[in-house]
Amino acid sequence: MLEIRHLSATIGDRKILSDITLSFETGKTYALLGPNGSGKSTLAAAILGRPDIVFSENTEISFENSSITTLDTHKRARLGLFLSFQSPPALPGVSVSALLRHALPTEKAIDIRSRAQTYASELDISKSLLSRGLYDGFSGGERKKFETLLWAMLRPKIALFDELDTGVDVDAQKKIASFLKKYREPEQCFVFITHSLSLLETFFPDETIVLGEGRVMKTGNGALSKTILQEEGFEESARTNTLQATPR
Amino acid sequence: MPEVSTHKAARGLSEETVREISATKNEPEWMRNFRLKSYEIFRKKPLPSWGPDLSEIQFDDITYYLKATKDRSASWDELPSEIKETYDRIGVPEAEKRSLAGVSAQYESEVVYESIDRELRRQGVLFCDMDTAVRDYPDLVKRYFGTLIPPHDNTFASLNSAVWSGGSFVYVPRGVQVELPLQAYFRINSERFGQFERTLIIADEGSSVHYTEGCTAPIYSTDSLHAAVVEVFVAKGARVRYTTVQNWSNNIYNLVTKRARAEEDAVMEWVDCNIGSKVTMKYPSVYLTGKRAHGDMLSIAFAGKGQTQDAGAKMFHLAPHTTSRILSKSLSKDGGHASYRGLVHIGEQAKSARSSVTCDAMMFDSDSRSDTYPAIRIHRGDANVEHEASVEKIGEEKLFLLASRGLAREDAEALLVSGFIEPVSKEIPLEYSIELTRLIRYEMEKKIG
Repeated sequence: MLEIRHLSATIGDRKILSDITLSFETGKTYALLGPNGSGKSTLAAAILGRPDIVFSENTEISFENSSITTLDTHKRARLGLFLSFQSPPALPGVSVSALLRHALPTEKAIDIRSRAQTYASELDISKSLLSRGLYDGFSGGERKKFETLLWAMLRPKIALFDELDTGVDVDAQKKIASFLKKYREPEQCFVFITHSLSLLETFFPDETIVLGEGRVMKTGNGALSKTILQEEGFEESARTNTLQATPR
Repeated sequence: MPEVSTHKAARGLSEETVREISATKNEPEWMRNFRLKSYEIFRKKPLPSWGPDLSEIQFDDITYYLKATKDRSASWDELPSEIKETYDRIGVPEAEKRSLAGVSAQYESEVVYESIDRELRRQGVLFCDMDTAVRDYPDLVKRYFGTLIPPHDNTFASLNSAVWSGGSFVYVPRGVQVELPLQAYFRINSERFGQFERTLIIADEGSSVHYTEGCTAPIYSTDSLHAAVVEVFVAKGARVRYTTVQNWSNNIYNLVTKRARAEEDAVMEWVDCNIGSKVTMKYPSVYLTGKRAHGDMLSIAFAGKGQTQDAGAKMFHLAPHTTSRILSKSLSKDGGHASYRGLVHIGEQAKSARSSVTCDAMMFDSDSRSDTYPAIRIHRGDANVEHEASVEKIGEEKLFLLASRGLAREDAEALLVSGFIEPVSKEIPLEYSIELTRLIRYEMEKKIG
């Protein structure tokens, strides 16, 4: 459903991503791994079209067979792409219902509210947070729960979760995981950017993608995630990859 | 039939003009003398040496007195297309548009006004235009008029004192609670949008009233100066809220002096939204003269292209246990310049006074400007004065977050702005705050288009 070809990108005069070619399929789960600074978050933001990320000329991103390389972010979102933020900025005075009224223009306000309330109670989000400014004074766990709630509200075709499990206690991690499981529809595609196995235990990846220094260093099956995150670490993985790559 | 202008003073200002204005209004001698004395003061007063540039004001080019608003703009068709378009975009009904534009009276609301008027009369509340008050309630007017803002206070107060016309007079008797906001909006008065309005509000002991003026639709005037004076007297235990929504067209210098006196246990609240004008200078103040008196100033200023909003507040703590709060929200875009200029004064008698000042500025681009000039004068050791200021550029990160949830840039900006001003806008009567949001949205679209 989502095809990325030869994606190279710069921010300002820094080259962040080099010649990335990846393909994401309907209904599958992906783990996007890599050390800090390897370009994972930038890749996710690039897929959503963050304006400060500039692509090289031969970069091509297509979604459901049409090019979205130059499409505005909000239009990508409306096609069904979603990105959960690692640390979403506070939006004082902007309530989640105000945001959702714009994001879901065809859904009745009353339906939006009742769905949001249901999800909030399932995620153990206190009711008072629903009427507060989004992320304004929220704890790390509350932020991540809200990102999860917004995912459920928007029902995207592909969701990129950027460190959804970081800065969240074990109970909240479990809440989030079981919530995602409950509301995930079979055709929805999940991409987890993560440093831990917690969510990957619930959503065992069909494919693991390892980034390093802005390139795809390695791809493999779900077991590779386990190997890297539990035992080997990135350095080892990168070394084997380099050795394998050299003869080419 | 709409009233047709019957009197228009010649352009420019002289002692003769002042006498003429007074004579046309059939004023008593004391008011005529007050005007003449004020004119003498005005002649000697220089323009303020601080703040925005006012040197372009052509005092000789202004018509100082128009009897009827009809004259302001002879017909709807003659209004600039930009103003008409804004009315259409923010969805102001046709009849209202005409009234707001000063083209004709708002006949529909006469009925509404009549019923409110009857209820007010039953309570003994006096609510009329200032000229009527001078004629019908001379004792009350004489006792208060010009005592809080004397003619020599500042250049524009002296000018207003010399040539004032129109404005509102409100007297609320002891213990009377006026439930509905008194809206100048309903008052069918040809001088409603006068350039030199003079408003006097007296809330007697234990009474309460909410007065609102202005509207979110832009008010067009061919004259370039609006210099109003507003005096509010809040007696012991009384409560007054004064809400202003100002959207003068972008050729107007809006230089307004507003001052209130709050006695023991009295509460004075200014809610002030400045959207239009070329230059606005306005620093509503509260003199907290009685024990435990409280003063509040909540403001929103929006400075777009070519606009300067120089606004703030002054709180004078002159009695023990007095408290005050200033919350200022300013927005600037397309090279607009928004400033907060304020003063908190804690006098020697103000034992254990408390004051909190918060100034938040939001900027849309790097051409725009935001300044804060907070002054604090404390004459005692036990005062508790807090000052917080923040400036934020409307962040790309926030816009990207909202875009990634499907919000177009204009929607995202409008949402961030309404969130930013929410602490103040929620205090504004609903019909105004809805229009305000709509207007801000429209201003954003203008920027993009």
